[in-house]
Amino acid sequence: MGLGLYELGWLALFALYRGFAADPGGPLFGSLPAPTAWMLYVLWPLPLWFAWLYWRHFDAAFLSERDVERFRARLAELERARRDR
Amino acid sequence: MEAHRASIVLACVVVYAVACFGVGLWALRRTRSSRDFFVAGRDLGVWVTGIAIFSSTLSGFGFVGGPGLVYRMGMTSVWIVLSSVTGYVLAFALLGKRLRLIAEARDTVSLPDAVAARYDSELARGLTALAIALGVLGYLATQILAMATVLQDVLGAGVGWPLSLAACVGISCAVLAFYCATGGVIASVYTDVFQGAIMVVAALLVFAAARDAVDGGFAGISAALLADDPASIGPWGSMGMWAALSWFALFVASTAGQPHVITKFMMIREPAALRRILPLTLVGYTLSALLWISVGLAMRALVVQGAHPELASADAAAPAFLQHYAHPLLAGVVFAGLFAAIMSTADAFLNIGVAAVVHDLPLALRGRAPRNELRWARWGTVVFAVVAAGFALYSHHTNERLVALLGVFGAATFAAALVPVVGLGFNWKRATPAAANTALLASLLINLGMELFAVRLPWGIHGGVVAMLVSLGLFLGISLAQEPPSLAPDIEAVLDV
Repeated sequence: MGLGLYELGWLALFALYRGFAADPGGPLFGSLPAPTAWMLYVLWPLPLWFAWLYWRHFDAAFLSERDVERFRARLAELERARRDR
Repeated sequence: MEAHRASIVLACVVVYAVACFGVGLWALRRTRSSRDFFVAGRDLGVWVTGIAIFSSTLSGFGFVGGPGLVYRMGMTSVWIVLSSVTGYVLAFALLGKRLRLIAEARDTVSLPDAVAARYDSELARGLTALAIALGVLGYLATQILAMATVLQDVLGAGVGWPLSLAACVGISCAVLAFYCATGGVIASVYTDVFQGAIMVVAALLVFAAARDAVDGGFAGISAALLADDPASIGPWGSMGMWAALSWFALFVASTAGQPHVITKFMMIREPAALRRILPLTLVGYTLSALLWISVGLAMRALVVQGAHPELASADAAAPAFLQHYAHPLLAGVVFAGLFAAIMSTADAFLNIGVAAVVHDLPLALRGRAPRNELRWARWGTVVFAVVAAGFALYSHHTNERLVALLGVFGAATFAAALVPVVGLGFNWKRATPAAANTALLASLLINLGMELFAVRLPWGIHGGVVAMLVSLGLFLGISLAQEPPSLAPDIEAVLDV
């Protein structure tokens, strides 16, 4: 979903830029020309949305407490095997 | 700079330098081993890591060079800011847990350490260390030269204590080397917290001042720039779409491959802390970058409107703004913020550069690290800082291209070498040592060749992008052409998580 949104964000930027290239004197949005406003107010903060997704789904998509426990158990097991050798 | 304004600025800078000394002395007692010196004993919390990551990324370039670029080419350079936040997300997603877990499995203290463990190759360690040491030398020289130039301006034009550039290089280098040698990365990250806080405050205040400096606020700025050169306030800026997009691609990769950023993943106390560090880093960077954009646009608008004379150079945008349009106390905070931005990057680079030279190159060449590594690391920090300062001065007096050459070489090599070898290789079991070594070597040679022979590509496309694509192609091609490598069980466990 995040990547789809990012792609849409870029497509909208190109579409808005076509209008700006044809007529740079159009209305301002948030004190900026439309494509620049889109770039600064939407594309720039978009990674914050990814950061939110990262925070929200960290356990499921990246690393859960259980993953870490299993990893540490595996390291301990390897260490025991190394000592036994 | 009028006298009272300069005195306030100097006072802020002195208070800041004294604080750095204090943190250095405090960290001295907490640094008892080379593990403490290079990775803070792997004991950093969320706030310290989050702030240290963004403040060490936003260097003096963000406070002086960035506004200068916006002044000169409008929105083109703002893509560097956008790319950095995207690069952080990529770095955390691809490397956060891998580097933290590999540090736990192998007790790694540097990025070349982790690369050597992943590929079971001392050559890969040596090449990574070489790329880092060369790149860091250029970066560090740039930062020291920037610090000295600002200090010379504050002392000379400001309060009437004209010092030579060499003396200012000496003072800047001494402050930096002192706290980095005494406290290692512990001093570096804790000063980064202090420095990051100053940078955010300075950026927010300057953003408000930039809005108020031009009639009509930001709408007035846009109207002035649209009347003068519409492209400059368009989304791609004066350099056009291809330049903006190539900068974006290069800097996304470059941020994700910045060794001083990703090394910090190995310093975190608990892997789960990563989830909270990323949002903190993004918010801190985004707020600090407001200065970059607002000052450049405001100064360009003021010049276009005839309210301010044309600047002698684009890099004068931020100093001119502070001198003419900011309250003296704000100017003081921003100058301290500027030193903070430069030093927070310099100390991070100094630490990884010293790790590459003192820890990794001896391991790659002789098979063992030096005895009493902590003492070597402390002296190595002083020597590395002095060599970088000497290089900066030599370059300044003989060939100004040298520092820039090594700095650009560093950024491009980090992107071209580390993105495939670390970014992909730590997420793809199929990646082989031969592929990693070839990619590292290719990125070093192509980037060095491009800079030495001043190769320029059409449409403003950055040469580093080509190096990155070649390195990436070689890495993928060789890995796929070879048998899948057999991995050590602990490394396999890291890649399986």
